[in-house]
Amino acid sequence: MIMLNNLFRKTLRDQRLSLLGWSLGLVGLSLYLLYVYPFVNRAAAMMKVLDNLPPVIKNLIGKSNFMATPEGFFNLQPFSILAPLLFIVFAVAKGSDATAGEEERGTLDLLLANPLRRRQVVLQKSLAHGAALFVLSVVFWVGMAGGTWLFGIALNRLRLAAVIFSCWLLGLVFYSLSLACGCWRGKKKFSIGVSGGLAVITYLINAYAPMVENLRPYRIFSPFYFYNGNNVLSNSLHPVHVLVLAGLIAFFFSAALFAFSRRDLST
Amino acid sequence: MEHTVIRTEHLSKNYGRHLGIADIGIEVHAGEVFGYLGPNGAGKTTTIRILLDFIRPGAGKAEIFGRDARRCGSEIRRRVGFLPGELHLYENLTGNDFLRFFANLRDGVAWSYVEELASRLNCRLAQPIHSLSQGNKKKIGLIQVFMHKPELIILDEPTSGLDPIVQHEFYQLLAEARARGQTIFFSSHNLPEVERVCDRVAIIRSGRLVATENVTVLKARSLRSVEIRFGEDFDARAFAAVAGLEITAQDRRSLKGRMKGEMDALLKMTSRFNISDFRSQESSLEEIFLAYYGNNDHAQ
Repeated sequence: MIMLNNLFRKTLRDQRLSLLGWSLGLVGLSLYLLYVYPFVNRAAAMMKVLDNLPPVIKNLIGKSNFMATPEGFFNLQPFSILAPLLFIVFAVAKGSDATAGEEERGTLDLLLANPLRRRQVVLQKSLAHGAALFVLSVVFWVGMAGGTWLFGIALNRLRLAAVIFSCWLLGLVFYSLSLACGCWRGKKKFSIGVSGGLAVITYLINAYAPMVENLRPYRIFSPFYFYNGNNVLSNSLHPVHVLVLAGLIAFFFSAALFAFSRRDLST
Repeated sequence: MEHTVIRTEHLSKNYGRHLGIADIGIEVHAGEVFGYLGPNGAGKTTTIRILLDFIRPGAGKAEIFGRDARRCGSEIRRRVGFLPGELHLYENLTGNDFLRFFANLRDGVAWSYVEELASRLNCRLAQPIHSLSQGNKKKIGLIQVFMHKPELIILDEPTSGLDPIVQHEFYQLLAEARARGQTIFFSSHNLPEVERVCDRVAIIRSGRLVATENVTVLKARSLRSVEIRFGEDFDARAFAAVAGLEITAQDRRSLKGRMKGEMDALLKMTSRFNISDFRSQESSLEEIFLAYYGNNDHAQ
């Protein structure tokens, strides 16, 4: 049993079951995708449909050689939609619950009656949630890397780690955003609504920017662009993109600390 | 000179257009049991939440142990035990896990003392909290208040939901804490309870401090409603002369009224007649406020 000797460990302990479920799900997803890849690849080669697609669409979902190579296929699935979506769902669920959930359940008063500063509560919970998301990332990598070995698929495992790392950072961006919303208003629904809404909007901006001239300049306002705009599986991480994601995390986290330290807590 | 543990000056808080508290000034001395008495919604919880820095005052200041409640909140809370009026625990934990978690957030909790408290309150710590009744949850709340033997204990309506046996044990714990020199700030809407456990009482109504009294003074100001039925015609004029009795209704063989202070004169007068029934009960806090402090109530 994990000792409950501080808030960080308690927060980790509280996530045991959900982490187990998510881990199993991610490993299952990895193995499933790796299993279907050869079939999709063969079918795509036979149909030769993909070569006829407009370059802009091929660009959107993974460069011109998508589906013909493991990088192309896996860049499309799971790293275009499914993986970031799952990471964001996990992150927003945790971020909105970190303080706002406790506040709504009425446990925050008793917790803060202990010799804890409010910023310590935010910090320890965030570290535990960030660590949980990191564990998921590692499990996801193990599932994917192990699967490529199992099914004999040639995929660069270092770049696989890089794209999952970028996905972790994207998750943390939306975690810290939902944390800041929860710290600001103390309402889970508000936090989930704002974070989820922004995730959808910024995803759509980034997804359609290659095809819509007017949207292209706004790609830089989407965290999704910095997550995988460089097509990490094919080209590796872009240091500036990593810095931008880290900067967003730092900004939202600072906003969370600022908001939570200054407002009245609801009963 | 007595050491002051809690001091508030002109403490005020508004919730938008709704008044929380206004101009609250209290001093709680080391080692005393201080009652904070008022009806529901009077502002008791608001004051306590400011003292613990859960909310910030609109005006005025609050100090505990001579230090600003906001700037030094964490250091202050190290020396404080708190039971909220609406107690919510971590439902996914057992009582043991919950108390270990809280004990580890503080220093100097002897687990043997936790077990002693659990035994005295007849509290089963091995059960998951979600399976416990409200009364049993309150016991866990009480254990976390006392387990680190804090210098200051702040209790917000602590006995609601406790059965009489546990209430008795709770009063014992308070007496022991007082004997050890711990200071107790005790909010309640229950006058007899405050009279029983407190040395001094601040009375709050509609967000404003009405009076601060010694409990002995408050006891003298008790107010009881009385209803007497006589077995014969009685002399109403004789009762009009009883000091402290306000007659609200009467006929040839019955009398209703309110009695301030000691009952002695009324009982002696009543005994002169043939009585078929005599009923007396404590008046509500609201009636007492109106009877004694009506003129000092600045609330709108």
